[in-house]
Amino acid sequence: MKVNLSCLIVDDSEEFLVSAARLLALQGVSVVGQASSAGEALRLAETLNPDVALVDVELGNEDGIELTRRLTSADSSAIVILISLRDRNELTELMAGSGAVGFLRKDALDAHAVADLIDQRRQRNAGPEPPHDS
Amino acid sequence: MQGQSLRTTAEGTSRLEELQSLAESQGALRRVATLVARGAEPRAVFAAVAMEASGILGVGAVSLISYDAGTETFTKIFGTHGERSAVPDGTTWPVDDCPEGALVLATGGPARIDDWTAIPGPTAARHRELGFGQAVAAPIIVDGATWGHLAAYGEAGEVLPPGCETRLADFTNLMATAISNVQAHDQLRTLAESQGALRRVATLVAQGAEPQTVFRTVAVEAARILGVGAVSLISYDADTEMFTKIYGTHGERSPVPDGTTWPVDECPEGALAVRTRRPARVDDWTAIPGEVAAKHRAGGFGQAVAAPIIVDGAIWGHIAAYGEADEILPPGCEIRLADYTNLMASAISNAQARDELRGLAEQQGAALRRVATLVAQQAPAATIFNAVAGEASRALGVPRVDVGRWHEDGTVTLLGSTSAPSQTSDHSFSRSGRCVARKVIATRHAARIDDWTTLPASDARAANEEGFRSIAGAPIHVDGAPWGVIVVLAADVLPADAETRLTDFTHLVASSISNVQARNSLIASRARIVTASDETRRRIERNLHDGIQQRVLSVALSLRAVRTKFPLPPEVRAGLDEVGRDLEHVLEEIRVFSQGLHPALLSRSGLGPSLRALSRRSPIPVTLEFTGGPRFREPVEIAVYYVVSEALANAAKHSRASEVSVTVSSGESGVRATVTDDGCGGAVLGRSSGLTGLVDRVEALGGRFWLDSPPGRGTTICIELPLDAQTLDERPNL
Repeated sequence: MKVNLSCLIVDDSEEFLVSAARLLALQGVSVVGQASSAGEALRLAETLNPDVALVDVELGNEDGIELTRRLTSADSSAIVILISLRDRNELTELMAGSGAVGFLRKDALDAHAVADLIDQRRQRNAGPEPPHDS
Repeated sequence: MQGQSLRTTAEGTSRLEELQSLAESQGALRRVATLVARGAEPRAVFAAVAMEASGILGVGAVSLISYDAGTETFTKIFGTHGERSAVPDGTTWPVDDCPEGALVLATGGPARIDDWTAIPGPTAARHRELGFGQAVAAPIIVDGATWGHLAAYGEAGEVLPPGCETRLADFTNLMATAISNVQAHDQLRTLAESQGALRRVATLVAQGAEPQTVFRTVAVEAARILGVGAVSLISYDADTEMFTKIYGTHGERSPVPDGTTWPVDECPEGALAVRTRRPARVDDWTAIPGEVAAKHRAGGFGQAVAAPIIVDGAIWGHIAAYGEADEILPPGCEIRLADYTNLMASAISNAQARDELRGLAEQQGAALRRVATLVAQQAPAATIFNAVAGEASRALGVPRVDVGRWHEDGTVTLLGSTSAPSQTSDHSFSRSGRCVARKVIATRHAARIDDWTTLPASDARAANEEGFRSIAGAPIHVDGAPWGVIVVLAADVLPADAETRLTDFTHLVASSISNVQARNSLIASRARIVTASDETRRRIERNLHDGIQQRVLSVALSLRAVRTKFPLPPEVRAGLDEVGRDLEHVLEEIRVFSQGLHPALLSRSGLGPSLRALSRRSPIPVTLEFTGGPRFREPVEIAVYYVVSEALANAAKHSRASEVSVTVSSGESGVRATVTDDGCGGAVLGRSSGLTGLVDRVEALGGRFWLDSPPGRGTTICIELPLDAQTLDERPNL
């Protein structure tokens, strides 16, 4: 079963970018870009227009939440899923109001989990905005 | 972009060999990471690293060796080959005596030595004698610096497989963060031990214990921290060049009884420590002359380390630790002793200052005793100095006394006076007193003006206006340095011995100040330890998150990638799934461990959200009321977080409570946090209790801690912390 999605991964760990991209690619996601900083992520999101951006909550010395706000703001409106090694429990307040459609713990990273979160969002938005064909 | 997606595709088509090396290294990583996550003893982790390397390479003899750049030496931490090793664990030797290690250091990469026959030196000879042949080694790089190396030794005649050193290097890369974490843990443990020692000594000092009791505790705590049975606290007299043994933990076994005085030169480790003002170590006592050294040998003692006790820049004495005749004191032992003596110097000087004050009070009678009592009660500085002025005024029968602090720029500020602030709107030095103060400062000696008309015109006018006819002043010296001035002013002629009698008061002031300063620096020492251990915890949390946790995650994701990519027989698939679940457990274990280590998200998300996250994790339902308002400075936020975290953990473990309420509020005076449960009560502050660490933290911030836990009626823990760091030292100019 393949998942047809284009995806941008944003994380400050090179090691994670490599292993996550490899796993997602094998599960049929087309990983169109990888970024290790907020600036790079914004540029890539604009040029590549991916279906989804996976954004690390902490992003090293930067701030993945702030990046998510910018990625999902009116003029960009990307779909963002926040990711972290930490538990959702620890991050609830931080992530509130970030504009992300959901959260995945990094060890639960999986193409289907990503697709499910996006589908849920599309169903919620089904009224005002017709779903894209996939 | 093209490049990046190409790279991904290339990574995606990974080779099958990867599976095997992945399985091997993941097993090793999982086992070592589990040990680290559980906070295992350093030695257990180091042993695991060496044994895993031995397993992966298929070589029986593997040593983990650390490197000290300062002394250019190696220290063998652990060897898998026990008795067959050329040197026992813990041995230190020069870099040049370890050819494979020296090569690794020189190249910064893995190294191999095939032929040992031509290599000179005792280590190589021993290597050949023991039947070893080829050797490979790879550096362990931690935080960009060479931490040490792993070396593997083949049997004589055995050919180590090609690429062996590269595999070893891959393995050391994998293990570097584990080693760095273990080291940080060790540091944390030492800090925690020092903190406990400092608390016990500080408590004695605060209770006004006899100096002898304080000194004994300092020595006993040093022995505990170093893990050495025999420790002596020795004072030094620079004038006579003599040492006096204050207290030794080894009683009858000591070469000399407590109270003995002997020449500096007969005590080699002490002589080194006080003359270089640095920690010292004496390994070999056989050639040292003198009676004390002979008794040392006869008493069955071996190596000795010593560290100077420096109080206000002067050598007060030293602390020495003595190993047994056949014992090798651990590497870095003298550095740890020096760290410890630095911490204890202020306690020692406080005990002494208090003793001097007590002696002074006994000699001088009621007036001075009253002031000494104020100092002992830790009264505010203004109260103490006003009292000094009042007592001097009464003793000398003069209407006005001013006590002032002078500054480098020549100005004098008033610390205390008989003209207290409530009685005069102009709370400053008397104008006519000021001119005598200037003279005292200039000459550094007592001065006296019996006839105001001899003063310069403007000062004479001031004296006339203020109604003073004669004025005397004396300098106050603290620890040998000029510090301030005390001035008395009279409407008539001052008594002939006024300056001499003033001198008694200057001594009193000096002792009071020493005491207050020592007390402040004691508080500061405790605060420094809390800061240092917070830093270490932060570093470990960061290392775990960026290092081991990241690495285990990558292995887990790679494993799933392999499982997705290759059509595998069901039993292999099941095996991989099991390994995957194992890795999940390790990640979970590290996650839980990290949460207890340092609130990493506190600085990002703030105290309120962090406390809500804590409340969600509590197995007992929590009602949280947070009216903290804006952000507090970091140590305050961390302290509140730890108090709530520890209180909730205690409630979950011991209280059998059905609910807990947490209230955090802030006002002008500070922040107050209260945690109350409806459980069984009976909680106590004890040595093993996590609550004791909280008391340290709160007191180091100048705050207060209450525990109320009557049996059967729940537990309440309450703290108050000043918001402003300066509240810790409200005494200006001290």
